[in-house]
Amino acid sequence: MPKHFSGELLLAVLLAAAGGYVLVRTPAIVVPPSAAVAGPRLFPYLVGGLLVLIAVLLAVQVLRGRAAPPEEGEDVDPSRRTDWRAMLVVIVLFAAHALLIEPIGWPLAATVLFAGTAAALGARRWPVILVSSFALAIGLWAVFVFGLGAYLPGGPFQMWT
Amino acid sequence: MGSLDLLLDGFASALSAQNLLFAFIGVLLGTLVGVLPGIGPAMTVALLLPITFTVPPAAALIMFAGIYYGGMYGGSTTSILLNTPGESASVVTALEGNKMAKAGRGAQALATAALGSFVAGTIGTLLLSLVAVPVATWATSLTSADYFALTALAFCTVAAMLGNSPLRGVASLAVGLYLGLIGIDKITGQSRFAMGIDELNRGIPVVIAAVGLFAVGESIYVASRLRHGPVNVIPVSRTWGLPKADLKRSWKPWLRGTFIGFPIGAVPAGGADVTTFLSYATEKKLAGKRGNEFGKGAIEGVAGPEAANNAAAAGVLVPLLTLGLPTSATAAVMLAAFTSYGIQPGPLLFDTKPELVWALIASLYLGNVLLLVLNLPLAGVWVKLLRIPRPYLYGGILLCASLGAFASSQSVAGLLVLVVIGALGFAMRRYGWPIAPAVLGLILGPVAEENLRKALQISQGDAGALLSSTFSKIMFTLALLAIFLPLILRRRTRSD
Repeated sequence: MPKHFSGELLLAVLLAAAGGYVLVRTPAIVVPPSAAVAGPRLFPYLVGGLLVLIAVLLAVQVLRGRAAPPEEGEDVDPSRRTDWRAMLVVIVLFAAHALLIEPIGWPLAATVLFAGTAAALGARRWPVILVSSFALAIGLWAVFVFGLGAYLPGGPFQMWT
Repeated sequence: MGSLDLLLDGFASALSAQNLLFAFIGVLLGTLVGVLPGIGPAMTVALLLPITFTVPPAAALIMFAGIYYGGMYGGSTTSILLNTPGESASVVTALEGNKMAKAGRGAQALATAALGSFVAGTIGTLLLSLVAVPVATWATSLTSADYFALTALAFCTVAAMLGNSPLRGVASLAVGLYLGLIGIDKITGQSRFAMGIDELNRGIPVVIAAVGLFAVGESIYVASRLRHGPVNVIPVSRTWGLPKADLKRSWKPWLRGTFIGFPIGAVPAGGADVTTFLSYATEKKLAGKRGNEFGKGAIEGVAGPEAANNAAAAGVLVPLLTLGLPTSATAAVMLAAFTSYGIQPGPLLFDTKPELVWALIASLYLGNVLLLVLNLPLAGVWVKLLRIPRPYLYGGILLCASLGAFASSQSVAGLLVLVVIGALGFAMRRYGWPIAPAVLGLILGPVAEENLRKALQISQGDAGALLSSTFSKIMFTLALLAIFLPLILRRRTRSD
């Protein structure tokens, strides 16, 4: 048994849950007579089976304490413990940004995302953060709306378009 | 010779002011995102997909191809000057390249990478122009069973060969296959496994999945364990060329890398990453008395893999253009660009749109020249980019991820799906699951399903039909080799 609980078990449980969901829902797929042979249920059964099989094998490996090293990267310090706070802040910010696009427009919602992420990752000089994030957001918005003809809700800046 | 005339016409079109400008923008952007960590060519192409509404097809596709090639060039700079790579295809370059830079030979490492990329990219493009038409002609005779065999080979190689743990590679592939199941079944038109969420009824777009797993996942992962303090970029002098002694040691690895990279890129076998590992292993084995330099900064270990990944990028375009089969994330997003113009890559593309394809191929030759010209003198500029403070860099990456996803899907719910997939990408990285198999599973899963079902319907459910042609037999044999060869090799090295 491992000395401490590995979060990878959660991933194995998720895999098993996805596999279980696929296997349970597959019989509900309608099979038209034209597709009686090799119909729309075949592949889901294969994938569902694979998911459950892998989940079991993975759980066994994890419980035996055989883990793979976390991915390396130039900005990643593998010796640090996971900073759950910074991570959650980034996820919540991104979701908030998505929900803000319609009400306050893309440029302001993007400013929130950029400034918030920079601050969460350790930037401290607020004037720099705010000015650079707003400039970047409005600049990108202008390039995409005027240059590429894409649609991005402008919010208060919609009148410029 | 018909192809040659068409290629010359292609050059005429690629050399027009507009196309040349887009090629230039493409290679510049490509190198930029190749240098920067966390943001890669797949996401950049996704970000720019909206231009397909306003720009003619040739110009847009030329730019996207430039981004793809440029990304391969740029990744090497990061690998050499920081210890760790900008792109997954440059992981191997870091092994020797960074050691060279620490020993004060950074300029030579950058030069051999750039020149090797040029040589391999040019030969790769040449091979692409030679084989494309014959392959497309031959591809018209491929059956559904053959296509299924191709996808099966891709699944086996990518899952077995990447990462430390093959089981986690397969797990990642399974995640991708699951994500690919969600949405409308192409053959019967009904929605499957949407979990009652409207947004999922149409399926998860490749753009959302790729940007979520790569860019958002990477940003969350970095946020969770950011390396604080200054970025250690090794300073490097201006690079103009390669001293004769280094050239003598480099040219053979360039050529070997090219001929390892192109064929493996062309068969759907996991794209550029695998080829760099193979090239590195080959160079190490062939080094002879120089073998002890490996691990201390052997120039062969930079020259070979860098050539291999560029040749593989050219190789990946073969199945994309001739079979309509994308084998890397970038190729999949490029396929999305083709389809948004109503163009279907595949065996008929060379008949229906010859002027477009040949302009694209011609632009690749020009792109390689542009990249060489850009990279040798501009290395210093790229080095400055590597010093961008990380809080701002990752803020910008998330912003671009949101922009790309929203501009292409126009849906807030799509962004929420993006962040959920991003969280998944975080978890996978945290526990050492490779990301590439998931993306490949999502892209090729539906292709595999469609062809499996068609093949079985034609044969009235006889599974033997999947192995009926010589081609499918070869593909399945290779797939078995891809699974068992690494296992056998591992056992042997363990018993040594």
